[in-house]
Amino acid sequence: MRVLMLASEYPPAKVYGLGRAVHDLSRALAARGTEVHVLSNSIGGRDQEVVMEGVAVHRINFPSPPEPPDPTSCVVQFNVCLIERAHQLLPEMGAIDIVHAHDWLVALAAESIARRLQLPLVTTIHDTAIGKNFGRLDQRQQYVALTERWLVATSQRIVACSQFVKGELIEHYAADESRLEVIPCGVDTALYQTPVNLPAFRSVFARPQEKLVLYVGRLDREKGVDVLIRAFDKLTPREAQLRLVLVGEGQAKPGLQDLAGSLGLADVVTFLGYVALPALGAIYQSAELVVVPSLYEPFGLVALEAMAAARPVIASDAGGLAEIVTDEQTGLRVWAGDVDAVASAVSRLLEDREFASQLARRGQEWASTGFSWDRVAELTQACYKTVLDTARIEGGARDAAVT
Amino acid sequence: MRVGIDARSVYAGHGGIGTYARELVRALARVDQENRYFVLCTERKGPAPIAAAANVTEIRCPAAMLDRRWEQLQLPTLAEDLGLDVLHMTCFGTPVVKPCRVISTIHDVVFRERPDLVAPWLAAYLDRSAAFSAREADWVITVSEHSRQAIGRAYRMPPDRISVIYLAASGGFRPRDRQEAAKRVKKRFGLEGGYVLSVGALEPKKNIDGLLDAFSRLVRDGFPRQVLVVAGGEGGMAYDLGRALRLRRLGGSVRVLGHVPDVDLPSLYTAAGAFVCLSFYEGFGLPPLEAMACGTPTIVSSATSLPEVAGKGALLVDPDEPLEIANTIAKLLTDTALAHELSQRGVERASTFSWEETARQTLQVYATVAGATGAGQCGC
Repeated sequence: MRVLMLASEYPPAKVYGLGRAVHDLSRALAARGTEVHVLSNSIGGRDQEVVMEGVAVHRINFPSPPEPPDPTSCVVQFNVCLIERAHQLLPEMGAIDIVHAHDWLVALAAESIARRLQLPLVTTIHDTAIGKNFGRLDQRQQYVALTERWLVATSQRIVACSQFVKGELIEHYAADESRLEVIPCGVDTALYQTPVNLPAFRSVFARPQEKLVLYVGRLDREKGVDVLIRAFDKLTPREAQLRLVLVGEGQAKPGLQDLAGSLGLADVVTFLGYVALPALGAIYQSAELVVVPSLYEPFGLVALEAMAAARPVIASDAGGLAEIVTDEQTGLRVWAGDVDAVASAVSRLLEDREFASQLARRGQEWASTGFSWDRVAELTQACYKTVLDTARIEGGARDAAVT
Repeated sequence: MRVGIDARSVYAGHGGIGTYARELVRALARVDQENRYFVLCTERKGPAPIAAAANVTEIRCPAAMLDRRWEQLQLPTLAEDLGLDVLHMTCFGTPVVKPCRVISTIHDVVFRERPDLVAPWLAAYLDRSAAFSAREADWVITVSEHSRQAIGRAYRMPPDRISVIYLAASGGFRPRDRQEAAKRVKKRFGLEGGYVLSVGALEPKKNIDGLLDAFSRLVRDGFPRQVLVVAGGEGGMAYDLGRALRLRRLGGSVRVLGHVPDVDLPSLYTAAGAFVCLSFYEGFGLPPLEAMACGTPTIVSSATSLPEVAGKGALLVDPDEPLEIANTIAKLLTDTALAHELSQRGVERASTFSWEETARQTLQVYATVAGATGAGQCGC
């Protein structure tokens, strides 16, 4: 089977982290015998055609002049470039069986290529504009939401990364439930367990005696980082020798820095900026515990990564997190936005070390059995098979109707 | 083999570490067209690439020369994205999370052996970086046998896990026409030839006080019209040259040039009557080698790596003995036969060092470390 994957980014380019997930899925599929071609963007125009771990990667060099006047037309222009490149590539790629799109940024190209080649289109939706913005959309976000709705309507099969996102697609985009299925994201647990000289590594951003409370993710409003900072303030961090480490960048960063400053926490809250693997794995290992305070969370990959690194997790009950963290079993759950609940969960885990390491142990087991990329690829292959079988039946029925 | 070279020091200042990274990259590009090199440098815009070759790619990094957070948190990702087999850290440090095999150059351990000669913040930074490297790097390179022994002592490292690879004087430093050089120096700096020259960052480590004390005696004891030229910008630890000159009432006979661009250095060396380097501590000591390469009669301190680098190409003096130093300079200024012979010995000695050789030996370490499955031997 040959699949053409479309993604707006692919490693080493990183914008939203989507590329990493598409790469992990693609190479797991390749390892299971599916031939995967990825068509994606290139940042800096490097390595236009490469084979990465069994995956054939084709990159277009975008943005190309002329500069688009606004972000939306930039997306349209990007998609036109993808379509052009796909048609150039077709003779060398051989017959494609399925087009697989990831998120709205490649919707136009995916739909166009699939329709031209009369191929089934599978779409994975990682989050939705309506959910992310709590239903209050500006003009650009309305465009995104409309594109998502159209992509969902036009795809033969839609993969949601969680039951939560599946629910969103039905509720907001009137998705046809019979064409929907849930396949989670995977996590490569080995990457978060690499042995490392932790005292030396930690010394780069913390004092030796400090215990680290960790947040990893975009610093955007929907992530609820302000809730975590307020909760951290209640823990009297200086007396308790605690440091809050925030990994990530985002639009809310200046506001969060101001908040930490106004609470007098500037010296015990560290903004580390964007950090990716492999150093990210060592950051998880350096932490006492990890907090995922999201107000909206389509999936909750950070909770899974923390589990992979065998760190106890405190997660809000927002979105897909409830499907990953089972309260009192694989972590602790708190109400989204509840400052006091976050504070008391943190102090509980800091005090009861035995319970904390139990959670961490169970979490690690859960992450490595339920969310391996091989399992995700197996589910995806089954999804492809369903799509092809359905297409054959429908095609047969159409042929029968004609004759 | 895909090799990453940390060259953030190249645009950072005027020190020897920047020269090392720059000349190493250029020489690697000359001796090796086979392996792929990724040169990681700072974001400063403007200068032409360090080495323009098909197998050398320059990567601009959002980091300063001494940015440990970047080195520890972002560099491993970059190395992984570039698919490096070997990462060469050229300025003491090593990322603790290793994305590939890592080789680190520890230039010296002056901050351990003479902490009084290094600014405390810099000493703390370098000591931690070197300690990381001693423990975490797959291999350590240093620049003199003296440094190899000192590193072994400081971090209890077996010296056979450290390779000594010497630096060199660049091709621009070679014997030139002295009259031509004197004309250039006259035009450029308003200096008459035959001066005593010192080149190096202005910091206590370089023992400028010792040089000024010796020079005061020289002026007093029969050389009233002799001129001393002090070239070099600020160093890693503050040194008040103006005050030192006022204390000794030396204002009239000392010319302070500040930092001198590379392009002017060969003439400056060539037109000098003698070159003096009295450092208390060096890991290698590039300026005396450059002076020798130009054929300038050279005097070096007998401390640390300097005798090893100078060999028979320079006269040795005790950096704490102003009288001995003054007498040695006087001898060089008056005994033309000795000056001539020393000049030749210096050129000969300097010719045994070349950046191509530095590159070849370094490349051999890359290959050994990249191919090694365990602790191997690097054969140099």
